[in-house]
Amino acid sequence: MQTYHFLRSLTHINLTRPSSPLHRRSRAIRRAAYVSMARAASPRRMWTRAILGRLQLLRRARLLRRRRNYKKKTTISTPHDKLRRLVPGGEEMDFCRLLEETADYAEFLSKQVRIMRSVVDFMEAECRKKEEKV
Amino acid sequence: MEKEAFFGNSTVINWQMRSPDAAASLPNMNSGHVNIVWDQTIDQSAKFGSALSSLVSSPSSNPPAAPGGGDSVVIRELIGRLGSICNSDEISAPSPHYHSANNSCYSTPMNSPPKLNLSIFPNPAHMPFSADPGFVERAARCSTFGCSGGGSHGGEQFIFPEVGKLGNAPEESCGSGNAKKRKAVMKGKGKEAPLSSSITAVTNPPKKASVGGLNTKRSKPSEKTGIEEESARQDGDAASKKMEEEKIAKPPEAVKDYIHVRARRGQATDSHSLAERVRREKISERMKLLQDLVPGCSKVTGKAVMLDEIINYVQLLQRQVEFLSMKLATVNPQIDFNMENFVNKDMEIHQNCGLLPPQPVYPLEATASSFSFANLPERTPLISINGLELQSQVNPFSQPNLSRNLTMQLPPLEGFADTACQLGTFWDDDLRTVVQMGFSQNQENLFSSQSFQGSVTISHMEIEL
Repeated sequence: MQTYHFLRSLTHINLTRPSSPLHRRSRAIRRAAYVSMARAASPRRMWTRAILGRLQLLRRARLLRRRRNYKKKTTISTPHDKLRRLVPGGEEMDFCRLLEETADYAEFLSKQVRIMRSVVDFMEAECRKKEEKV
Repeated sequence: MEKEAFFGNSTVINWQMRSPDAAASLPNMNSGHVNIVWDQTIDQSAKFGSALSSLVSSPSSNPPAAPGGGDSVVIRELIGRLGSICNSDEISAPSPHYHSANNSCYSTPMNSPPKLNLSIFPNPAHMPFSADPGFVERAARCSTFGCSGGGSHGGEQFIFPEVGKLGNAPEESCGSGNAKKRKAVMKGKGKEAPLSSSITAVTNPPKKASVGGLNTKRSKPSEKTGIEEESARQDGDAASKKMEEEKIAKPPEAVKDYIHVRARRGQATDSHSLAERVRREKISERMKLLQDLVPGCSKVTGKAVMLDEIINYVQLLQRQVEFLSMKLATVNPQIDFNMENFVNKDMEIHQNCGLLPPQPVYPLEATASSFSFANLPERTPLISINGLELQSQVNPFSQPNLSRNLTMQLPPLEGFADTACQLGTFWDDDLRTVVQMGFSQNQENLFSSQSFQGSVTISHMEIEL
């Protein structure tokens, strides 16, 4: 499921703007990776909702030229701040929930990394073969 | 003071309500008198002395600060009063209970009874407490006596916290806290409701009333001493009851909490400590889960190190995603043009068969399979995995569909080939032949042998790649 979403968005990115600068494309791909992760995961998870919410926000921000500033208001100073910042949507969770979300998030992250790595390898292999052929 | 009054009133009221056989005279006298006495007794030694003196002098609500050498005398008098209040025949019974309760309440969960005693006795301020053992015993008996409903422990508890309170301030706090908590814990544990016993001690028949009054008074002075627990207890008599209920719900944890809380001296209402304990267990459980997830963390022990490892791992994964996305951005344009077309065309198909995952993969895999078919036909098993996705989607469909799809792919590929897509040219050249060849090859192998599993194919693809 995750693969499907990711590949789909990947092709979409490559089709819509193949000539855009590299950094923008890489950003878009990165975003696509996270979104595909979130789509594949259960919406019960806080991090999926956070990612998808961020996506919505990003879209709206593009229209309104506004960054997500208001989201950072809730600052709970805890010893686990670092982890909270890493996991999307981890700011407003208690530590117990945070660990749960981290586990889920890490699982999907690792899956995503594997997908991307396989796609990259595949592409590189194809390119190499093509070069060999040519 | 209002708290004391509140407690006293509540206890008195309870006592009156609960004690069917309460002697009218005794409660009145006891509640007021004994309350005052006990309130004062619970105070610091000085206060205790003052309380005793006040006890001796008059049942005034405010114990005048009159510490003095008459402490021992006062205490003895108090003991005498208590003894008179308590029935003799019940004294024998509670004593073993007392000890047992002592052990149960204090030693087992709290491991502090000796501490209490020690704290009390060595305290120079508590010289008059030489009569303590007897006093305590009698008080215990009284309390036990007072707790008819099974508050045999209540007395002890009552006594002990009192003794504790009579001790140092921390001891007092502990004692008061303990008493409070003990009551709650005992209740939670299913014992004869220590708190209730304490309350029943207050509310029970006259003798008990005295004890109860003592309890109330004791609690009040503890509050007066600034022990928030008592105050909190008074405030939340209901809260304590809730805590008790919670403890009843989770007796084993209440035991632990009781121990823990007692050591902490914090108000740490039992409900909080209970919840905290539950939370801590949950956290450790989740940490174990994460330990399994993060590679190479089986030997790590301790939350902090584990947490660092987890943070590092998540950071690593995120960095990998970013790096790979950049890599994909450079590599991508050459290859994935087909995908969209495939996806569009296959959407209907896959919607029909519900084979969602492999769909977009299969054009990709088609290229791979075409490559591999052309190069290494003997690698069919591997390729078949790739081709499986290709084939699997075709499974429900007849071959013509697939070929149709493939052929449909070709025109756009050719179009793309014009845009300097090497792959497009490749497609042009080899796709038909190779794919059809591979397709025919695989069809026999795959359709028969392998069952279609979308996720499996994807994973296989990943594995293979």
